[in-house]
Amino acid sequence: MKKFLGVLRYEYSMSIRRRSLLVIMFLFAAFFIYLWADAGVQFQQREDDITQALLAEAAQTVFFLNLFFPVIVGVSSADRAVRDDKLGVREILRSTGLGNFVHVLGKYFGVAFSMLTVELVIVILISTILVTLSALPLAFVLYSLLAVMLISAPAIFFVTAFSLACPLVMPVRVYQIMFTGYWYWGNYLSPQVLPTVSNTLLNASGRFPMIAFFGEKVATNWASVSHTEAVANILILLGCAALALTAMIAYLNWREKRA
Amino acid sequence: MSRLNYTFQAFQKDHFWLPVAVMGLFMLITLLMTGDRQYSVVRAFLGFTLPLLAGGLSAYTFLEDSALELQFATKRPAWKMIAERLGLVLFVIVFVSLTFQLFIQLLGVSLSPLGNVFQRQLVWFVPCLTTLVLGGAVSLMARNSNGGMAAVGGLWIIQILLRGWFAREPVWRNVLLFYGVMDPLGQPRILNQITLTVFSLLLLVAAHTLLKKQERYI
Repeated sequence: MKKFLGVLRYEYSMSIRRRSLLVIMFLFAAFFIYLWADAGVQFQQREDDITQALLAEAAQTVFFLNLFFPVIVGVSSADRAVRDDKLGVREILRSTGLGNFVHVLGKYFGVAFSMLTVELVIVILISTILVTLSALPLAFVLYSLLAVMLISAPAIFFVTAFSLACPLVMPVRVYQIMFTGYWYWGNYLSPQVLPTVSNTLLNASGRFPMIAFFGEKVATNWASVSHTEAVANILILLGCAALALTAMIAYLNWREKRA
Repeated sequence: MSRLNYTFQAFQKDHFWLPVAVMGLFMLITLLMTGDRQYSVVRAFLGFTLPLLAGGLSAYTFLEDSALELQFATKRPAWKMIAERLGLVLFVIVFVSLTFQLFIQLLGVSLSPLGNVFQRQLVWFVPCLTTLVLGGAVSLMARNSNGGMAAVGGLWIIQILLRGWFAREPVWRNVLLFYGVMDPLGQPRILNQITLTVFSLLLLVAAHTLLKKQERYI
């Protein structure tokens, strides 16, 4: 546990200190805030159910942020494991008796938590602006954080796992380009245009939890989603992440045996 | 010529095979489609996919060279390095695009909705040029190839998902990478293409200035 926490802490601090990527994330977030302000906050206070209205608004805010944020998370995380190989860090760490299982898990949670931290900061910033400008109740900030946990966090955990594992078996840039294309194809493209998984439980855009838990539909033609489907969607994404990490550990073990 | 040969050798081979592989995939999808859907696939490849490939590959053209410091030790002007490296990526993109268009012609799919021969080249070339220079310039700004790719990826996904909003806004549509392919015969596309070209030139100047400060990358 001590080793795991040590790797996690080290990876977290390395990942979150990449200034250039932080600047890019905040620039896109600033554009997002501009869009929100330009469109005008459409919030309608319904006397009968203010909580539901706030939840829906919070969900929509996080869902729109989820359009691009996981792409930057995926691209940023893609070099984390490969970098260890390049710099020979893995050999040094292995000589300390640190196993691949603990190393990969520590690295994974360190990177994922660092990305989640950045998103939480952005969401707190946006929701505070909305609270101030639209005189919304302060609870809106808390609802936004809840929305991050249910809508965005599963996507971040899903994306981070693949971004750590896949570049070990393919060039980083190839993965990054394919991943960016996947994010659009697999989550937002209509099956009527091209065959896609966007209407299945593999959708990582956060659409399923948003509809089921927050009662918000961004497009009127979206089908209703039950709570069971939304939970299944989250579990499938986390399950896929676990599979990717298991494959990564198995690959690292196999590579060490061959060396 | 020997320098060009070096640039070619220094490039990772996926700079060449990735665009060709993606083109092959789109060729296959085009073959599987019929009627109007074939044209949609062609449009998706030329107007939407090629700019991502150009930007993604260019983000890795400068800083991933293991002999970068040796390169800097020689008295070579920065503009030559930019021209060689971005030029090679652009060459691959142009080759892939023209091959794909030839294939489409042989298949009998009409590209006339994209305008005449010259107009339909602008539809993909201008956005590719913009993402190409953006990827290279931001990677130099960030001193990190990942930064360039994150900028290209973020911009691409935001613009593709919000293209309707961008296209409706009279100012913002001028920076929409996909406006040319969305409205290939409309009058506003000319201003859009001019704006994107001007942005590309400005970014090129920025890349040139940044590359001259060699100590940033050592």
